[in-house]
Amino acid sequence: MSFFDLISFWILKSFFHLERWIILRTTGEGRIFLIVVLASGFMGLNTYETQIYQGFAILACIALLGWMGSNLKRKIVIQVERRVPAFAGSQEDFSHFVIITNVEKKPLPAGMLLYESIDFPVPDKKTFLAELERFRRSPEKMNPFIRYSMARVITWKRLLRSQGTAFTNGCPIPILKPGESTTLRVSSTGRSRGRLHFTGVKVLNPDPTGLFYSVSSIACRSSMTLLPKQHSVGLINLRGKSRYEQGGVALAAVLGESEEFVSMREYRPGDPLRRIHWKSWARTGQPVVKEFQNEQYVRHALILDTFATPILEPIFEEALQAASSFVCNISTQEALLDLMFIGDKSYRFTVGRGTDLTSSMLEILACVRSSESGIDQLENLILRHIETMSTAIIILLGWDAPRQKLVRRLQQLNVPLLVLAYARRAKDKFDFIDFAADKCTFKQVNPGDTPRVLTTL
Amino acid sequence: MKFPPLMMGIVLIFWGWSRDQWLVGVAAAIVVETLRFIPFRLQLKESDFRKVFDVTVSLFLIAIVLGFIVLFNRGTPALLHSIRYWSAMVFLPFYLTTLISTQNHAYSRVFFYVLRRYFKQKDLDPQPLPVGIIYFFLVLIVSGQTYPVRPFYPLLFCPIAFMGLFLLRPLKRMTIGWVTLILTGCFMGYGLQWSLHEAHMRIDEAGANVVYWLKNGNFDAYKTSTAIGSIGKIKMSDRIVLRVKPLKNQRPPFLLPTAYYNNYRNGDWIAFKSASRQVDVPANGITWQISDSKDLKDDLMILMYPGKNFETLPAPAGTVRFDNLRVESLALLQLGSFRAKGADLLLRYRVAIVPAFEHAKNPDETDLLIPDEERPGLRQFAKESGLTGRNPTESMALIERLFEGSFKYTKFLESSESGSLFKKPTPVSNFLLKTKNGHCEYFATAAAMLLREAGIPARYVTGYAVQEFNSKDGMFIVRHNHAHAWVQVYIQGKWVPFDPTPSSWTAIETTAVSPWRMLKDKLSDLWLGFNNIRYYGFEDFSPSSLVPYLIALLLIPGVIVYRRIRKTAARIKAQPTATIDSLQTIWQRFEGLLSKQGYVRPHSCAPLQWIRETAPKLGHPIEAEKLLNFTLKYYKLRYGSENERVLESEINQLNALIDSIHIGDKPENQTPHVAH
Repeated sequence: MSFFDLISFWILKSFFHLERWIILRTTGEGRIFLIVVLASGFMGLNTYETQIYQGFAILACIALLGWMGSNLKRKIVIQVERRVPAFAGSQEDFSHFVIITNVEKKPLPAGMLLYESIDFPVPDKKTFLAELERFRRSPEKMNPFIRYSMARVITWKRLLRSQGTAFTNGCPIPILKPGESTTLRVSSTGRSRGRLHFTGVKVLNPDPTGLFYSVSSIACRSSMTLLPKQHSVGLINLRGKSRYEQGGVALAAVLGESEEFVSMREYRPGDPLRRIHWKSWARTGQPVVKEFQNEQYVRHALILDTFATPILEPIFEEALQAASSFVCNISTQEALLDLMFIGDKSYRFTVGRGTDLTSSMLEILACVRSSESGIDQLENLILRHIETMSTAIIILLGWDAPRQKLVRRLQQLNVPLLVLAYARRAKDKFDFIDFAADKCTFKQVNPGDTPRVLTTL
Repeated sequence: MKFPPLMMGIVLIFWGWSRDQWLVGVAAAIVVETLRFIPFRLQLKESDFRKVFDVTVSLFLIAIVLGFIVLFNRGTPALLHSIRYWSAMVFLPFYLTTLISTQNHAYSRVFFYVLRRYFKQKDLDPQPLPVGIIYFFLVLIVSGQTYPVRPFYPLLFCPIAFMGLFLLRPLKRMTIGWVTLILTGCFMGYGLQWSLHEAHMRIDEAGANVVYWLKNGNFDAYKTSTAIGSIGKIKMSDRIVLRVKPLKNQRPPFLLPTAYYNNYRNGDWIAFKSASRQVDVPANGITWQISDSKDLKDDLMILMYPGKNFETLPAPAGTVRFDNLRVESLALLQLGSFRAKGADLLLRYRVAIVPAFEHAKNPDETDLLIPDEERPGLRQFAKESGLTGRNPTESMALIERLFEGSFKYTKFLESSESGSLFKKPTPVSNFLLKTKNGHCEYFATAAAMLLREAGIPARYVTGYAVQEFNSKDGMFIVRHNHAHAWVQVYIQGKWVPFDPTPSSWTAIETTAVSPWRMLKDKLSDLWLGFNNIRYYGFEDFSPSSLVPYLIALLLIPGVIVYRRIRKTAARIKAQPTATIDSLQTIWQRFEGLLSKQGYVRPHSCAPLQWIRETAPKLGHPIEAEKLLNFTLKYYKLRYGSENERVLESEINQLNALIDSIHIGDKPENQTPHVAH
């Protein structure tokens, strides 16, 4: 940690709060006016050479009075109820409804705006410095200016996107009489995926000068999830055969193929007593059991590589979009889909055949963050469940030796693979020659090329 | 946003008024207002707006670059000021473009390449910008670049700003309130602008203090940079630089020189061809003989803090000996300056003077040199004032009379906008021919040049004016703002000092006294006293001089300690003495009183509920009232806000309430009354 890192943190934080202050506290006209005041202050610095400072003094006093007036305005009290959808796309527009009721004894004044309060994950100093250090330790080659200077801005922006955020537009509030209600439609644009927490609403009331707003905050908590962007996926032929699901229906927890009687055989120690066919025992004098056909399922694995250094975050986001696209497009009517990735621990989620909804898996993907542990952990997770895997779709954030080793291992275990390897730069060329095999498909995905690659699968 | 009629026209005329550009302002106003009545409009695309804006900004940037080139070459920011002023006209075409277009506004992504890329990358919808209101305020602001200074500028600014703000106000909102706010803001702003100007001057002075502290007020023996050509206030503080104590019963010389120069160029004076001669190191190390003069008594004692960059030693003309001068080396320059090195923190030296003695070299051709660029102005002034063809004495007298009568001493210089933007008169010529006001450097430089023009050798001298006498310690105080410049003229075979600055300068310097000066002087005296003892022992030390400081030293901490003790005592006294236990005891006493009369509270019944049920059954309304009051008061104290303190007086009140309750005895045949 250096002195400049600390200064940068405070500067970035100040700018963040300043930006929010400007958005919430100043009207559009107020912003123009403030720019005029600042410009006149700058131009009138030398009071010996110009009289611009006199204009600055007058305008600054008016701005000050306007700001003071906005602070002295009475707080507006209303009742708020919010109806938000469960999900929305992270880089798409969405809207929700807010029902407001005037619980005051006076009608609401005209010209008010309603803004949603969103919980922004403003990082603290410790987190910022830790992430900055992590960024600088990235092994990828980087311009020193980016590694040591721009890293601060990049880290700050990255941390602000660490949970769901959205940009909401202000919604004008009509004049409401006491006791009257109205429903407002608030339009927003998702900025980053994840859980989006609404903490309340802010009612903005302009001051008499029309330059500043006075802000009344009303608490009203709601949450929704901003899902990663999805693209259409071409027709994938996932060649997988059914695999024996140990434990049968109970462990598969699905409505699977029903058990079918196949034949009789001699009793072996350990067979359940309820399978004993008593009549045959009576005839043969030896215990005989009924034999049934075992359950078999098609189980696809969607393996997501989450080992991204901070510089690879944009690629990680694209990989997530690819994963979300697969989740939406793979039919889970007759098969199961297992999502596997490493977060703070190993995770495996299953969807399909009634186990869970696709939307749940998308929700999980919305909240996935990059991990610092190695690819070995992912390999261990995969190998634990390799027996039940029919096919695997692997989304990798690169094509380095550990990742190649993982793919090689899976090939050795005869698992049909669809591998999407993301390149950091368009000029990087991955060599899949050594891995070419039957039932294995390899695709290099360059930055920004995800939609095209998915459609051409 | 639609502009009301004449509003833009008024602000353009105001712009024209600020710099006497009536023609342009009125013409622009007519064009802008006329377009309102012309129904013709063009369907312009975004690319058209971009082209107009790009051309406008390019012209503006070229003008700015040109302005900076002129600034660095000629040292005058006049061109930049003009560019700032004329930017209103530079951006007028863009405003006219929006007027004649059907949209009547421009989108934000028209402006600047950076914004265009930003909107494209983010795929954002561009925001329409109200170009009219932006242009209105631009014209209003740049009209502040007035010339000459317009005393009525703020008074006219207010109503015009009022018009602009009227457009920005929220519709149908509190017009009276809005007007009141804006008018109040205008009045406040009018007062504030005076304070801003004053603050600027104070900051400049403080900056001068810092620079002075860094350079420790020393004059360079070979070069001095004057403030000739600078705009604004001459930055001088009232910090004490040195003290002069006459050792004989006669006033020391009014002018105490420090350095001499003979060559002027672009605001700098240089000591040209002024070789130095080392003065022999004395045997005792502190008595430096400049000439072989014996049996002389010391005339003056000078006390000063030399500082790190110390070079030149203040010494009156005719100095023949330095006594008690603790330096490592001393050199005498041919022009007359003394250079010393290796001085102590505090110098307290004595000088012996022989008025007839002169150690400056005789004049040479350098003492008649005049820079070429100064000649035209000097000749014109000499011709106009009749200086040509006079003898040295007459020339000096005439110059003195002219400067005293027609010129004004001032520490504040305004910008000079005369001449063309690219060829301006020199500051000295401007001073002699046009402004006729300046500070001592102007007077001294101009006088030296004029005398040289008349064929009289003259040199430029810097030093101090010894004028402020402190009767308490019998010393003359010399401050930073007593720094002065004058001329040395060669007349009848000797160098004679000549001060051409109008005599009013001393009064002007002494009028602006900081309210903190007395305190600063006292602290300076204290520091001097301490250093005197430190470096020179108790020689000349008077214990009584320290008495006021000792008293102050003891008094101030004493007052602080006394106030602290009182505060602590008050805090202790105000601490709450009552605790929860005290309240519970009181309640128990209350309950005991009631239970004695047969009124027992069941454990399941809350106290307040019990009292509410019991009180009416007493049959004594007044006593019932007391019971209720007591219980409510108890509740308030017991369960009130955490921050509330329960004082002893309140406990006493509760006790008194209990004492005042009189409940009749329970009838014998009545069972104990228990409320449920």
